[in-house]
Amino acid sequence: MELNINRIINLIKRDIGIYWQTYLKAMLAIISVQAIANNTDFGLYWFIMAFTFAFKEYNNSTKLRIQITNLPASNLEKYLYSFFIIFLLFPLIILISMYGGLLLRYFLDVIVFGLTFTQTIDLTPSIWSSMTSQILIYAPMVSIFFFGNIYFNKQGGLKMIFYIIAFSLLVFVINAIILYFITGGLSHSFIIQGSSIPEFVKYIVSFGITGFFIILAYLSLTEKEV
Amino acid sequence: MIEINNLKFSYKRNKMVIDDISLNIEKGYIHGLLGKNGIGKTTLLKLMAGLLFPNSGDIEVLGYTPMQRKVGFLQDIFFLSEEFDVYKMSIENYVKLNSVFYPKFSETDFYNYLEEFEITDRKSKLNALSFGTKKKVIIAFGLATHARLMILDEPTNGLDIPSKAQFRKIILKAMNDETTIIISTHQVRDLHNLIDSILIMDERNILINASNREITSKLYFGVEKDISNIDNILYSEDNIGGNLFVKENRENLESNLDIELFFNAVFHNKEKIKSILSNNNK
Repeated sequence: MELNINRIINLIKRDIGIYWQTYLKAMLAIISVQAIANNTDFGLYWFIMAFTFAFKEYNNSTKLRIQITNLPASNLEKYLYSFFIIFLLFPLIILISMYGGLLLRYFLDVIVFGLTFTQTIDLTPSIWSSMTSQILIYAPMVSIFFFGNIYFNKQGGLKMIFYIIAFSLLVFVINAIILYFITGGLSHSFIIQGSSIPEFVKYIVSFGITGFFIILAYLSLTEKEV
Repeated sequence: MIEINNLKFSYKRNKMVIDDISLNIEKGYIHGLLGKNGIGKTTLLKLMAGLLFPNSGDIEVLGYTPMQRKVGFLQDIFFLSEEFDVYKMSIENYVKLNSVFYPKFSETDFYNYLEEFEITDRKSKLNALSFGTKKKVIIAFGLATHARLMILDEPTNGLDIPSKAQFRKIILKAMNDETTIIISTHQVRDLHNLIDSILIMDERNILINASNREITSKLYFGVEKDISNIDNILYSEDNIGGNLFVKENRENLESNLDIELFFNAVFHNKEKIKSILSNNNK
């Protein structure tokens, strides 16, 4: 496996050089919505939207796929660069923008309306307050998008959302059918309640799914044809 | 330089695009890959560039297996696809962000090639340029990488007439003993006086692989008002100046290769021309 840190840095520089305007527009959009909404409930949506941009040059037109595939860097370097963008740069941009939006709201409220800080802003947004449980949900979700965007040639993010919904529906239907035949009715649920699962099992399942899709994404990248 | 053995490739099962091709391409020459539309030229080039993986058979390019996409391999090939996307950035920035990946890249050469193409504004936004101008920038970039293998798929599509002449001039200027250029096109006149050897693709396979010298030593290209008395004519077509014809060159006459005429002759008289060219006695 060929790995050169300079080439990864060059890939990141190239990415930022190409997409800085897109990133800036996204930041401004997040700041605006956060300032208007004044809460962090939108966090999940920002993350989902951002994750659909994973491997954006691969999950695009054939023309762009040819360019990135032919760029002299190894598959591992291209993978690690995408990993950095999606798992570090995007979350950082989103969090900075979310807090930027909240701070903007704070200044507007205090300066324009003369309100006090505690009346307008929640400094313990939900995204931070239950960090562990958030990570347990986000990590597998991100890894699924990460894989989907390299596996599919176009609209990988949307396709993965569709597959996740379809899979959830399938589980629900199977669950309902089993329930119907066993109990003769649909009054009880066979779905294991989240609270009843031991914490360590949640970690194993969450990180297991995450690891599985992250490895699968790398294998898909090495097998990607244009 | 490029060795292909028993290569097979299909996009869908039971529909071979490349069927058992074996081929050897020598370094230091400009090779023209000709063929009708949709015959598999781009597919073959993509297989050479590691963009597609063969179903079976071997490809070795510059000592590498293309599908492994090793960094050394990618640094030494430049693939220009027929159509391409450019980013919203200036020419200057494009070079700054992409040239770092090519150790042999020469900025001086790049801007010299641009000048030859009469592109002087380095700050022009790539996405705002015409298709032909964008193509010229990418060609200049490719040549400035000093890659040992340049694969150009329909490079003259979208170029105006003066630009086609500039293209030929620049390609010849960039050539040296270590560089190999493969140009795929169906516009055979654009390659006039440019290529050293010709590869013609037919349905799923290579029909002809011969150098210009080999071709003109075995075939004679001429023009006559009346061709009724000429023996061994393989193909002829009417032209304003008379009849253009290709005949077997039994008399060792000298003539200039007319690529378009040769191409038409090959498709008109495949087996005969193939057998003449594969005859090593001459």
